[in-house]
Amino acid sequence: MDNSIKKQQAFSLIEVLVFVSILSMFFVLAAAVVTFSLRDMKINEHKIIATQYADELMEWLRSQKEVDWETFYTKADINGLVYCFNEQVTSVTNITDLISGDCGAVYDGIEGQSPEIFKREATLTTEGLDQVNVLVEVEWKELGNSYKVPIKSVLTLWE
Amino acid sequence: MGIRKFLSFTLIEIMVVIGVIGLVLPALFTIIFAILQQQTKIIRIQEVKRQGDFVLGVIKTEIKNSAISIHSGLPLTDLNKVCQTMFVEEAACFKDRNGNWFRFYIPSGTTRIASISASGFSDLTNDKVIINDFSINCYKPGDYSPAIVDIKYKICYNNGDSCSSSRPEENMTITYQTKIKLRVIDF
Repeated sequence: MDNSIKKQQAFSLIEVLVFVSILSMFFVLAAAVVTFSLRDMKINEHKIIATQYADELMEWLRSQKEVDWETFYTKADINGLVYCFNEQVTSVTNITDLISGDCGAVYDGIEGQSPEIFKREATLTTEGLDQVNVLVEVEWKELGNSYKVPIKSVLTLWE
Repeated sequence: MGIRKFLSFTLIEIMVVIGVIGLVLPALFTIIFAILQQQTKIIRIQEVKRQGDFVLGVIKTEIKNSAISIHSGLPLTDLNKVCQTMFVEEAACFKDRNGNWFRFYIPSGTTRIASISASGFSDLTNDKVIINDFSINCYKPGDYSPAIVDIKYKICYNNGDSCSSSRPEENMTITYQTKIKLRVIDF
């Protein structure tokens, strides 16, 4: 009699196992969702920063073109010249100092600004005598994936 | 006696349960805190960039499309015209095609950029952000070329009347700088 009551009041091993496995499935799912959303948020944050870097460089190139079209034009050619802009554009005082060359496979960010995972390049291609096509690309690597924010613009002598 | 024994929890059972809760709760709060922190960062960066882009867009378009001459103050006369030489000067007021004036400035006692003209006044940013080092300067590279206007400002998220906060994820500052050429040459 005593024995049967004891049996009635406790859970069996199977019951406990089923409960624990359902609970653990729920927790694993919740953890996965949280991890994915945190990762996406981080990527989004870097995307906004990358867009800002690209906008900043485009604005700088546009301002150089406004100031001195002739010099700006000599910095481009028909096949496209690539420039690396990993320094802050405010510290590049003059476009005449620019030397073409890409950034290579180094992703160490824009000088003095964290996170240090970006690289920024601009490609200047001439089209005729009064137009330069500009492509600014900010690239970064995150969790084994490569991301890129490209901005294209056409700069002409007349506008 | 045997029945009573099963109606209450033993010390070991209670300790195991509290132990598990003690492990799960800190982990849970850490995750929630990480999400909130990340969200704060993204919201701030978006707000600063949105308002910064807007200000730059408005100022660039207005000056490029409307300005025909630059003056140091009001009323607009030929005597207070600036930027007729290579010498860099402050561009306080602009004259548009219809002879009306407009200017961009930081109203005293505020940290916002405002646009004002004879026909009205409007704020370009709100109190969520702070504008620093705002300047509009101009010069003329040659006698027969239009004046070049240099616009600069820093914009940051407002952490209680200051750009900096004790928490690093709340600090967000962007520097904007551009130059534009007027469409017309002013002699």
